[in-house]
Amino acid sequence: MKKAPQINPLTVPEFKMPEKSTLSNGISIYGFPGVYHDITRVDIVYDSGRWTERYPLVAQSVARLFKSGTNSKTAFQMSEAIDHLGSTISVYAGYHAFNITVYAMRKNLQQTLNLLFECLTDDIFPAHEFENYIKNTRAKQSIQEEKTDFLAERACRNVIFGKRHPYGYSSEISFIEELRPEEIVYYFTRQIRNKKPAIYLSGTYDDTEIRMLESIFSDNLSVESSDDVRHIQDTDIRNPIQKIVRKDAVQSSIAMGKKAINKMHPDFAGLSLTNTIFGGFFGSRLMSNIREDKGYTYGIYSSLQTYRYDGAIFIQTETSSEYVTACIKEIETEVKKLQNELITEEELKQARNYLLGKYLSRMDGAFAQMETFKNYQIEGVDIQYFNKFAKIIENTSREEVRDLAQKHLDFDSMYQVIAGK
Amino acid sequence: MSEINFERKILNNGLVVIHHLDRDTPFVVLNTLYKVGAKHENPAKTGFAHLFEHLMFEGTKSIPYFDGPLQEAGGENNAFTNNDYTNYYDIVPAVNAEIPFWLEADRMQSLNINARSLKLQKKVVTEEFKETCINQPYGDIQHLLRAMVYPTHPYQWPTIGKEIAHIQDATLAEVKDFYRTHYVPGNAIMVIAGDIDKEVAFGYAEKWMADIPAGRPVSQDQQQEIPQTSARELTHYANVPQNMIIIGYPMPGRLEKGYFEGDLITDILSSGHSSRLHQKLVKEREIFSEIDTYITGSNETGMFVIEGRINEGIDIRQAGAFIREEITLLQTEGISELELEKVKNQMLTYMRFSDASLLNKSISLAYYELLGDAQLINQEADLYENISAEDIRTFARKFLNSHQSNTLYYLSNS
Repeated sequence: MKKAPQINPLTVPEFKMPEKSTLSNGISIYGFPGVYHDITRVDIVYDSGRWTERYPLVAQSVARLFKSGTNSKTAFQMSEAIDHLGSTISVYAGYHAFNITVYAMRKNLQQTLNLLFECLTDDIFPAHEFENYIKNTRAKQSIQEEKTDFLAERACRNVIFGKRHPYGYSSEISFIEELRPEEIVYYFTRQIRNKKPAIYLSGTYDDTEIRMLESIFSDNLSVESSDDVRHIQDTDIRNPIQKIVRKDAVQSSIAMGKKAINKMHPDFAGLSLTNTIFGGFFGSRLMSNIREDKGYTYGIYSSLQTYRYDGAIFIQTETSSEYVTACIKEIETEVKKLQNELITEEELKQARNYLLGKYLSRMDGAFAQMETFKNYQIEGVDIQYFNKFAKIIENTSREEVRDLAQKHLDFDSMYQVIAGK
Repeated sequence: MSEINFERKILNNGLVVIHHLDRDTPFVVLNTLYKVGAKHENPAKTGFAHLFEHLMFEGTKSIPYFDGPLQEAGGENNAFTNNDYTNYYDIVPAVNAEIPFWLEADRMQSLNINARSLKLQKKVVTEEFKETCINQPYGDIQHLLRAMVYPTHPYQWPTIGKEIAHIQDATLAEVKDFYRTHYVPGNAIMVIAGDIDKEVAFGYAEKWMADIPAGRPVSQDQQQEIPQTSARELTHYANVPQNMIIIGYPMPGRLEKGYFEGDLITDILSSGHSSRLHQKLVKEREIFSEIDTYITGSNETGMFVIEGRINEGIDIRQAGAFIREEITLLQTEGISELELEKVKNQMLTYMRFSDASLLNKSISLAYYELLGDAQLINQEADLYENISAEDIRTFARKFLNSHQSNTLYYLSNS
């Protein structure tokens, strides 16, 4: 028999810093060069997102209606013009960011950015577009309301952070009904049009593209001071265990979770390793036991989610209704085991290297580097932490994993939601 | 568009090995495609190819836990099964490029299939079936539609299987036989891509794969579908919030004339907000809340599908008539040059962007080799580019007629 090849240790290189330039009005541009068949990507990020909404779903609605028409183009004409260039302008609202991503063939970038600029300065949000959007969003939501996994996750987020809290809410019919066109305009004007964005440039570019951005973003946009105030306050009563009954469901969805920490906390890197071992990848404790040993589920994962001002840990799975109790029992068993018994060196090594491989992939190419850098900035975390985290993960011991599980994975303080029969 | 360069080597046991160098990434991908999919299954024992994909992760005598060494090497892996083939991929940091060769060679020849692992994976797949097909609103559309479009061809069932019972009835003897028949070097295509020299890649392939017994040739002939001559309809009721109409037409397979035309028509009809169906039927006439068009992209006769969720108060037959009206427009007036240019530009950007991913390139190279020649990866852009507006109209006239349609009326119980 042939000898197994040796597994070589991994080293995660230092994060490659972007090329930074500043427009004459102070807007920062972070550049990540890479050759991608002449594809250029531009991300424009406003410090707003859900956090600065006055009503839930407003930021997301602005994102969806972003290309719905200006004084000189209808929604159709705007889409037609962008599509014809083969470009995409996709817009989404995150927790703390309103993010516009442009992909274009380099030769079409100028025209694409002109169209984007037209939306940014001249969007009018026509009434019929708003009404059509509301109608179709309601219809989509009515389908979501039938999915047990969606219902369980929403209820769990609600109970952890609050039903209307930016980190806690998910789409609801009542939120869609609350939306008003004036609020869309208000948010757009205040949180986007008059704010100063950060710009991330990646893929194929050189000085030509920087000059292009200068001519568009510095000469024309009026720029006001920023606003990072959370407007929605939350007043909820929270029950630790919740049940959502769906009689015709053949499976139940389980969602569990509690508040945890964010990237600024000194335990973050160690806890992300601990979470990986617990339920963060295919080889995790939860998967090995509940899927690969018991066969209760197609998949079970835990995830550590971090935000600018908070963090949470979630566990989610779908299982036949008869396995629900057993499944929760096994989750508890796995928490306790991790808190009371030391894991083996072998298991630690697998999880650690798997996670280091993930860090490596976050630097794989200009688009990935940009994405990582941008997300750290949105979360308010210096990119130097990225390098620090990799080092901590390399050096976390079995004892530390146990201690972190004791400190952050307390089973009894987790909320539980079961949606199904 | 720049060429994707590669080299091919065929080992003595028939294993095809393809190497593609990409220095811009710190990773190496080993992608292994087995020429077995749901279409190779017995109609009374469906879901086998996919169930088997699960068993491939159950370990061997010498490596009891497949994922372990890969994770320790900083890598990850996954797999998927479709109607035509099963594909496994391993991604590792380049310093550990040899690890996946060792693992894939090992499970290609000494997979440890036993009563316990089979029983367990049947349970897991049963939960997967429930999660994706039963407990999801509209989750059974593929089951219903395929049965209509394919009265004969084994594309009749989706890869998860026709029914749960087929999975639960699978025996150990059948599973072992399936392994011996299909999981052999002569039935596989391996792509090594990333930051690895050709000599090293082919050297590893030779070292780990060359002495695996070739196995017997596997027949790839499928029972062909009889051309459809009259419209088919089915009405189905379920606990869903909205009525839905789904229309499927048989269309040319991946290598047949017309395939790329069919693909571009789906973009003309429903890709982006300026597409025809979205603009006219969602925005202007408000018949649908959502409408989508797609092709299944199968090796043999595929499906061209239009599906829409119908707004409250709109008659489902009326909704169908609106779709047909749009198809008639394609058949009579065709499309403008400007519209054609638009979808070609979109396709080009999409293809260039997709080529930025090492994994995408690896899977594509293996797939094109399955179709006959990995070099097809470099010809696709031209094939789209050469399509004329007249070709689009010809396709619509030839394949999108009422007598070739299969209409599923998926109605809400409430």
